Amino acid sequence: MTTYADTLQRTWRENILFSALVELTYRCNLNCFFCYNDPQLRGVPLTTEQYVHFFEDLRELGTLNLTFSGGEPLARADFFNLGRQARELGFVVRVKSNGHALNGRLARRLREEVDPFMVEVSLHGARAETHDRQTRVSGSFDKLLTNLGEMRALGLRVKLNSPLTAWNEAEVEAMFALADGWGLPIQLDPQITPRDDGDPGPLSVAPSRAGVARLLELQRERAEARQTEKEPRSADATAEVAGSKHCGAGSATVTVDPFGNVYPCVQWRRRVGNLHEQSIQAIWRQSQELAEVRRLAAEVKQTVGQHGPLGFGFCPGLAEQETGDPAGLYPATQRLLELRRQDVVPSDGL
Amino acid sequence: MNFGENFLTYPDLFPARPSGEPWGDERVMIGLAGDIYVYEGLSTVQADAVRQRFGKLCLPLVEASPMSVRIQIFRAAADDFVENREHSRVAYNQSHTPDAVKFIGRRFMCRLDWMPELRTALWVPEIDLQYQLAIFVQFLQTTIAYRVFEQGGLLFHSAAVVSDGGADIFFGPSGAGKSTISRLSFAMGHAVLNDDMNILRFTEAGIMVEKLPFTGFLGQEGGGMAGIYPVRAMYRLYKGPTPVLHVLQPATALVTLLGCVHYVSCDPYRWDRLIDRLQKLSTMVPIQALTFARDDRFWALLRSGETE
Amino acid sequence: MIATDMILKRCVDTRYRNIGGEGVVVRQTAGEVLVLNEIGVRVLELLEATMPVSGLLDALDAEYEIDRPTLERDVLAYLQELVDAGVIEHAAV
Repeated sequence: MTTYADTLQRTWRENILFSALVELTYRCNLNCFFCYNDPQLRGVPLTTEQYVHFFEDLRELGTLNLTFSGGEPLARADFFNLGRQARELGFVVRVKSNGHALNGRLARRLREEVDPFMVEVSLHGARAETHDRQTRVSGSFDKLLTNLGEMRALGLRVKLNSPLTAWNEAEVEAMFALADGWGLPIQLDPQITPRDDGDPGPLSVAPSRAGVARLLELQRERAEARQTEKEPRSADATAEVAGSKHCGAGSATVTVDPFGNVYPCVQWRRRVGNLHEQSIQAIWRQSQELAEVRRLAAEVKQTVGQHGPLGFGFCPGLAEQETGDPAGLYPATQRLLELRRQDVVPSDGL
Repeated sequence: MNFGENFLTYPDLFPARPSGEPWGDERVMIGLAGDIYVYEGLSTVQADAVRQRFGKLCLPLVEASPMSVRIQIFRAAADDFVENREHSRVAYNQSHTPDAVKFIGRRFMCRLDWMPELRTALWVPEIDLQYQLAIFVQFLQTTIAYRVFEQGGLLFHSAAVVSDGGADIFFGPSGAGKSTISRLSFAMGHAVLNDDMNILRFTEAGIMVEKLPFTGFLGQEGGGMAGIYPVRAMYRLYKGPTPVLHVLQPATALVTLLGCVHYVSCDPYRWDRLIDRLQKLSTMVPIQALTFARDDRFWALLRSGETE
Repeated sequence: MIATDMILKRCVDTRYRNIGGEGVVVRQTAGEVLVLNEIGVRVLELLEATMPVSGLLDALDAEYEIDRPTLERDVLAYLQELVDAGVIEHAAV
């Protein structure tokens, strides 16, 4: 019997565009210190009609997952129009929102008109001081708490995403406890990335070695506890995919910025085409840059594989951004390797 | 009422950072009052309209220096704004923090951020070009008000008339007579620096006035006067049948002066500094009340300096 | 029990795509993902149009070289599995 992991592996192997992430706007109602958006990026924003054509093309290519991101995607004026279209075209829609405005009529409209599979909301700390320090908008923590209650009452499925930083690493247990108390899944990401224009500013709040180690330990404990509960495969879980490529960037995923630039994934900002100039089908099938990315994804698998399984942490996009080489070990992965040598992280990954 | 509730469909979506989708790639650099202001993210049509509006103040495009003030223009959607018949262009909401100021009005939202240098951003929807242009100009004025304040000066709602190398400043709320007295002064052969908006600078040599060149009627088309002039005296205007010069009590003077400092006077984080500055102003130049009729008799009275 | 005069439809909370002949189905409310075989994908595609189960059988009969009784037995059982899995449901008429 074919499993979901088998199917995902096929998408990587056969270059089936399974998931697309669309950054609808860089407008944002929060001002997170470490945001990776390139504030200087310029271009002509895609129109509503262009997005709808793009979605139709994606459906033809077999894309199932469509994620709206930003900035704050809800700040794009035609968000609900695009969300409705995505729903009608049968995508599994995810909305990556900061949750700051998701209350009242806006939250209700999201539930009724878009009915996303998941709203992924950012939690930046377990205390208002910490969360607000990171978002640089006072009152944002209290607002988020209120909004989470409203979202859940409306039946929106919510997941919490939390970037681990030097500012919130002492609150990791408390953040897990908050999420557990609300009955919401939470994902903490130990990698702070440079801005998309290469500005390393966000790295100044990268978590400490001890902070990362503690998070990995907690994540391992929680994963073990889940395994004993024998949870069924969740549609939101990341499948461990074995195959000839390190990841599905450019083989099963693309990311599109507000100006139509197409990238292999949200972190691998190597431009492979632009939707103002070509359809996604043309880019997907003919882009030389994309062909190169796919070749590199296989090469990275070989090169990085020499260090043992780094599948849980290594990102070719980040590697290229930080070292100029998609297979280069960048500081965060060097730290992971070091932690593994010290047996903090199991050698078979997480 | 919460910030923006009366103007925005979803007030919580108010931008917290200067980002979004620009209208285009065009920039227009404007040199005035010793600074360079750069409109960024304009469409070609918008840039042409801005260039036409600011005429000779536009500078040849060069790389913006770190000292220049960036005014980023972004797209908003018509749906972002609540259409309310009671909204006029002058009505707006504002919100302040120590390092940011936010405004929302009819079909615009904007913010000024100190990062630590001043950077500003304005979001407007697809509307009539002339209305957009009016918003651009108004926002530039707001930006200048804060820029000048940070430099130690004041953007002051006033008329400035130059004679014998010095300037008389006339002020008061709208309708007090600034335009009238400017026209009368102009007819008498005096140069009008600007009949609506001027910059006051505090220098060791005293208070100096410099016009805000793109505002007012006479400021743009009148005497064509430029330059910086020492302020001789300041007069709160009243209209009446007979010219009279009164002493203005300090508290009254302060309140009236405050009413003529737009934008910054509503900012609680700059209030103390503003009051200090206005009090200092009143020690550096005589501040009096002038009642005037629609004739030239007031001028002799000013020169005699005789108060009742 | 599925009868040939029943009208079935895809559950409103499911999303699916045909990935090179296999169907990936996401049940949004349950947060579950299922992989369907070629017949499963074809059933979901056919159910995009309203038709009784008999119509579905006719369509599959025309596409696959299987004798009709076997096809009916297998497909009806399979449809029941899909109903049990929450992928399809009876359409209110």
